Amino acid sequence: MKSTRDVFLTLLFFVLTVGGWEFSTRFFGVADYILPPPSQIAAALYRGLSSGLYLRHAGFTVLETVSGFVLGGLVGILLGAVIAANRYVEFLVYPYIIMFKSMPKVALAPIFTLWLGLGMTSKIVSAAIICFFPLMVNTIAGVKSADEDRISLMRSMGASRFQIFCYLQLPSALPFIMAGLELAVVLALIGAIVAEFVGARAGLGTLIQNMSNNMDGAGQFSVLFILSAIGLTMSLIVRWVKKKVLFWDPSVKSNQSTQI
Amino acid sequence: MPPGAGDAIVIQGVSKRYGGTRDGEGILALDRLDIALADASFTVVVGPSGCGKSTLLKILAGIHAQSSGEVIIRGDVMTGPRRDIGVVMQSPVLFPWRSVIRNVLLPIDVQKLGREKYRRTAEDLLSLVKLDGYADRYPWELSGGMQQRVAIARALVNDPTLLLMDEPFGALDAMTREHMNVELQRIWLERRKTVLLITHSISEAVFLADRVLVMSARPGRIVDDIAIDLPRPRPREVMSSPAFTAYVEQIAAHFGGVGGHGE
Repeated sequence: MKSTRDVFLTLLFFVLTVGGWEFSTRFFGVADYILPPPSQIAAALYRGLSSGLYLRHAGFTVLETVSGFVLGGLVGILLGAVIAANRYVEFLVYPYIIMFKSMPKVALAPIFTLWLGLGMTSKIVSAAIICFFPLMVNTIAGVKSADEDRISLMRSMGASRFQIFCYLQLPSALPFIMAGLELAVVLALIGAIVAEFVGARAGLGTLIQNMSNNMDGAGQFSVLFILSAIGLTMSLIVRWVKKKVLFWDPSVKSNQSTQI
Repeated sequence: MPPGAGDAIVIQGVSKRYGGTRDGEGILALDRLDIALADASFTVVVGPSGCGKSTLLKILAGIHAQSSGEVIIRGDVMTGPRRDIGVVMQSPVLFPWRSVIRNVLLPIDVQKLGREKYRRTAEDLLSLVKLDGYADRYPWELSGGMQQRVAIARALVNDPTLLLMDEPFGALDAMTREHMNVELQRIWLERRKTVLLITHSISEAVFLADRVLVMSARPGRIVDDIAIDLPRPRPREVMSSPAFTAYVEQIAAHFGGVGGHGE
């Protein structure tokens, strides 16, 4: 728990940072469209929220992000499990994985927009493809991480390959899968926003672009604030699920007190 | 040692060669072993590290296949892993995401025998290994000795014909290890399973065994077969008795003297 002194210092630091920002933008006469003062950002945030404009656009972005996360995550886990379980599939697919792994997946966004149009589908696919890789790679590593002694023990009990997979390899992969999900949830938001930049009818990315065209600096910053809040909320949800699922894993057991 | 009628397990001419190819000999780990284990007997194989005793155990557990020879369990020739064999390894090998009772029930789940039917059996076994009240705890909440007790309960849950133990207390500290040996004897006296235990500790072997098989360094051969004639239950103090010491010295002689660290 935080002491009163810590709370005081935290507040003081916040006030100094925001106050310093407010003061210098006004004192040096920085143009609003370059760096708006915090008071104007707060006002823009209030206007955007109270008019319902931000919520409407955020709804699109969140739906695209979550759908892409779920879709890309599921496909990544499934394909990772199949690849890890079957040496031959791994042999055939691995060269492609290596090639795609090092490619910046957001660069595919224009192609998806071309193929799938300006609607939500192209954003969902863009978010999914960026989530897919960390989950596939982590699932492969996780399934392979199953302890040799545990595999031997299960074999001595007469377990089938499928039973060894369900009872041992999949639970052993869970810490890797959860780490992949933590990474993917942030990536999914990036995928959705970049795809919105390429071309969309609604969403926070579209909103930022419109504001940029109108030189509305305060508006852009206020939407960035909303995006951080969305990213943080989704990360916290994944982390909460991770704690519930991995209650037995040393990474969760030892970090319980230090995580935000 | 000719196979007798009352023998639960008969090992006939079992050899194991690793890495043998057409042009190379490979390494001969086990050389034509002939062993017969009487029903409800406690046999300990003792030998220096690398003598192939773990290999023998893995063959009996069905994890490795022998290169030649046969293992016959209650009249059946063994062809792979058998469900009537319980295995305890050097480390507890528990599953951290399963509670203690569900770890004990793992063989029941794998063999689809019905978890509910065996819940009582599992609870009784937890009492037997003195872990009453720990059923719903998790392995990582238990000490090393307690974890190995869970492993023993798990190995016994489907009432196996043969219990295989590979240095089950090797990872524990000396004090706990001695205590666990006394406990293992108690458990064995209550359940009377056919046990084959592997160790490199001569005193552990003499303390636990009805019969000690001494194995030579690679290639593994049985070089001596000693019946341990000490009354049971054997108290810890038996270890300082002249009879006990005589057995230890007899075995240690095979490894180049008292202390018995062969090789």
